[in-house]
Amino acid sequence: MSKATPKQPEVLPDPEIKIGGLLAEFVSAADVVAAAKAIRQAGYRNLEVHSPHPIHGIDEVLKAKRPRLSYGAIVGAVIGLVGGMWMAWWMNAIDYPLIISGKPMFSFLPSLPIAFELAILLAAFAVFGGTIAMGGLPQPANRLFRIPAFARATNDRFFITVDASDDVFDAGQTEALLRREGSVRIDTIPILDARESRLPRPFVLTAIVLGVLALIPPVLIVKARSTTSTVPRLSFISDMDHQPKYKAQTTNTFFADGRSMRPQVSGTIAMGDLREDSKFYRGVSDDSAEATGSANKNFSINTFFAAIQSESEALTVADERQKTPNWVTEFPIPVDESLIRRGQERYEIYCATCHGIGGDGDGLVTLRALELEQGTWVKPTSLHAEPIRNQSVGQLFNTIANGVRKMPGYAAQIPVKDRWAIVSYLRALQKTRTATAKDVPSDVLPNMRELN
Amino acid sequence: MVTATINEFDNTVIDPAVRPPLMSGNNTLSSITEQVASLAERPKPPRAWTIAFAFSSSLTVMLFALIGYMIVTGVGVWGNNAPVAWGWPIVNFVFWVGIGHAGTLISAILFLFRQDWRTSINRFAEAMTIFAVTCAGIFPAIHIGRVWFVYWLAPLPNSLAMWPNFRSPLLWDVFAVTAYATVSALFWYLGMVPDLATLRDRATSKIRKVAYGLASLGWTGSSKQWRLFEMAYLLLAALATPLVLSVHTIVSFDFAVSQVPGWHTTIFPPYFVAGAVFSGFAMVITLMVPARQFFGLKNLVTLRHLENMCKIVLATGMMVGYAYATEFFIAWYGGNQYEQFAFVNRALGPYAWAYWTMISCNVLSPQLFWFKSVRTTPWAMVVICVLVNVGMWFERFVITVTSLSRDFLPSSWGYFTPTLIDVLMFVGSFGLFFTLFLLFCRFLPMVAMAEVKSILPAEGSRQVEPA
Repeated sequence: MSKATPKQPEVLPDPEIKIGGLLAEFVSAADVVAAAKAIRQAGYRNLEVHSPHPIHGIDEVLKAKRPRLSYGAIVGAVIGLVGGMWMAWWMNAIDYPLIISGKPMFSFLPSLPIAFELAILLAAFAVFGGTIAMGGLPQPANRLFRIPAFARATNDRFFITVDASDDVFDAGQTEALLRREGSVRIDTIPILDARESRLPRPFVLTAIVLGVLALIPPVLIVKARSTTSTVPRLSFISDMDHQPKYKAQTTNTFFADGRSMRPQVSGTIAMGDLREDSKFYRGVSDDSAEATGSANKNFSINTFFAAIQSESEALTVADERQKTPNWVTEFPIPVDESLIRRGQERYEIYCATCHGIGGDGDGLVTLRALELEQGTWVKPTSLHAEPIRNQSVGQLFNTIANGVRKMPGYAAQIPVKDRWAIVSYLRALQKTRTATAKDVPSDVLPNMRELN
Repeated sequence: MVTATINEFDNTVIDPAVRPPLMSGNNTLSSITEQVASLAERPKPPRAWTIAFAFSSSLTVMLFALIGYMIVTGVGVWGNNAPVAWGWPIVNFVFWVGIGHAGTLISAILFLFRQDWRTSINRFAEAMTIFAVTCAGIFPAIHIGRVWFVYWLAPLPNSLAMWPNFRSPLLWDVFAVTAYATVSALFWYLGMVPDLATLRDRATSKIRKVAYGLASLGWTGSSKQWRLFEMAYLLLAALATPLVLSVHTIVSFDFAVSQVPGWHTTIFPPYFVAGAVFSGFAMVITLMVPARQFFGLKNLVTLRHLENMCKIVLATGMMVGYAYATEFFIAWYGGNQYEQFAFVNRALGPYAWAYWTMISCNVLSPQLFWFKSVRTTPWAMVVICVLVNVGMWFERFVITVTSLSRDFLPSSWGYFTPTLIDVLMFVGSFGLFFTLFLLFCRFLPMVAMAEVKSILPAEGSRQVEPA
């Protein structure tokens, strides 16, 4: 005998009091199946069988319908499968395409593991949720639990409940029938009033408190996503935020001059900085190197560092620039139409603002400066003027790179080859003012004559 | 002839004409309830439980302290480094996930095969699955370094407008292990609801009544609820079966979709799954033998149950041995010099000690189960099964570390040694596992009472009365 309450007297129906139904106890599964069959044959429909384990054959006796759980599982599985595939496709191929070592942006097979797992997960949720919901669970307040004898339903006894709402129900007759079919004990099922069925106060309060607390994280997330902050985010372990390394423009006590940024070690040339071809890089012929040895220093990288070492040195550098170097007169790279076109494009980006589209010194900046300065502004030299026309290509190159008079040098903005491209375009521009009929190709000449 | 102890009921005789009984003694519905439920109802736990719990919870505390230390200091406290960037953590992860698979196999796959003998052990094994997956999940979670960003693994909308890489097996792992943990938990809980209702109806203290009452959701055992329960159980078993196969397949993809010699082989999915079942059943036996002795469950978990599990260990052990041979054969037959070297290096290189441990524990020791006397002697089973678990840990170690320590370019070769933190964290994970398990034994129904009752001969099942 279990530790259940000692044998209690049966609570038999009082004809004066309304009852919820009758609860009949049976000793074995076979008994309860036979009894259920008989009761159903007697016309009762509102009955249920309770047992400590599932009884084979009870579904046929009660003529119960199979629950439709598998449909939920299929729906869940399809949603999971399709959803997983869609997720992999949309997230990795459409919204933020990730280039991963040449693999296709979306492929069916690699997306299958995730889609498959999601399918099973959602199907399992559907099955679990369906079981709980369709079983009427959770149901903590069941009137059957008010009957102490019912505790054995999960232990070793079998029960039939006949609901009073059944058409054929009659307290006395139903009780007699149940006893005839082998019931060892009959109890009355009470009717619970609304107050008794309600969830007790502590549970409601706890549920409310937990519900409110559960809302806090989403609210915080929404707040963080939709507002700005004047303070940096919380960082719990900040080793990567404050890294022990030197940054640009900071002091450093390790070196005598106190700088973290170190100048280039003297006598070295950085990779990619070896500009041996002075015709290409500087527009001067090599044989001037001995004649103006220090002049070459002007056009090397070290000029910058030399200049900042002392002001007198800077002045010396400026002086040395007065000596005329040996400018190249031929282009060091082959000149073709594509180079001239490139030069045109670059000229119109960098030069035309001051020098004008046609090279006459009437660019927009010049015009505006003239307006603002009320005529005291010195216009850029016209590129068609004779001194400029007579300059060699090397000197033009140097002007573009290092500037002249008030024009700044454009070495930082214009790469070396582009400077040569601009020079080639300048020559083309200059040609437009000085060309004669002899310079025009013979197949184009007839068309030009017609215009004139 | 069987050499069983005098008080051991022997139902291991094989007679094709007679279906052997699955339980011994006179079991009735109420005796089963009393026997199993009273284990969870003792007001004070037995002394041995308290001692074991104290020991395992101290190991658990050590584990969490080490995890805290690692989070604050960095992943460098482990031995992982170039060239062996994957070390003990992933080995431990695969080890624990593999152990978990046996529980699902017992619950789901044996259910689909209508093996009634599973009812005595399935609750126990599913609990082992849940706790093993918990231990497994810790390692990938902490190995990311900045654990507070672990939600970056999930495809959540973020301010970078970035999404995770769905082509990576590491992300497949996230989904697979999450799905596996969730579905196993749902399956375990759903199966426990009727038994929790039994405990609820027997509870005497208010706390127990409320706790078991909430957990059992108001279960009354009506035929409608049982109908739903059985249908849900069948569906979940049908879902869990491909799940367990796919999860360890996806775990094997962590290795198989790489290019490393020794990893890039299509045998990995079935090999890993067989290995997982192998190590999982070994762990079930290791836990079940002392549990049935100590908790007095010998009439429900009989020698036949243990023998059946040993046969499964033998079968899957042979599959694993066959997989080892196939790997070697294909490496030779395929003619890929890197693959060939990888396997020769495993057997004869600097990790040969690990390799031969693995072979002797996994291939040789289960062969003892061919002998009936061995597979019906509980303590012998435990020894062999502990060796099997050791061997299976070494198998994952050999796969991971030998291939990484010597791969394509000899100038990149290096020898991996674990740090103390590696070792202690692994030991601590056993502490967590046993802590959770002891709590399960103390408070939850260890045997699936309702299922065992349904296979009692008197209840109209196909089983026979004990002789």
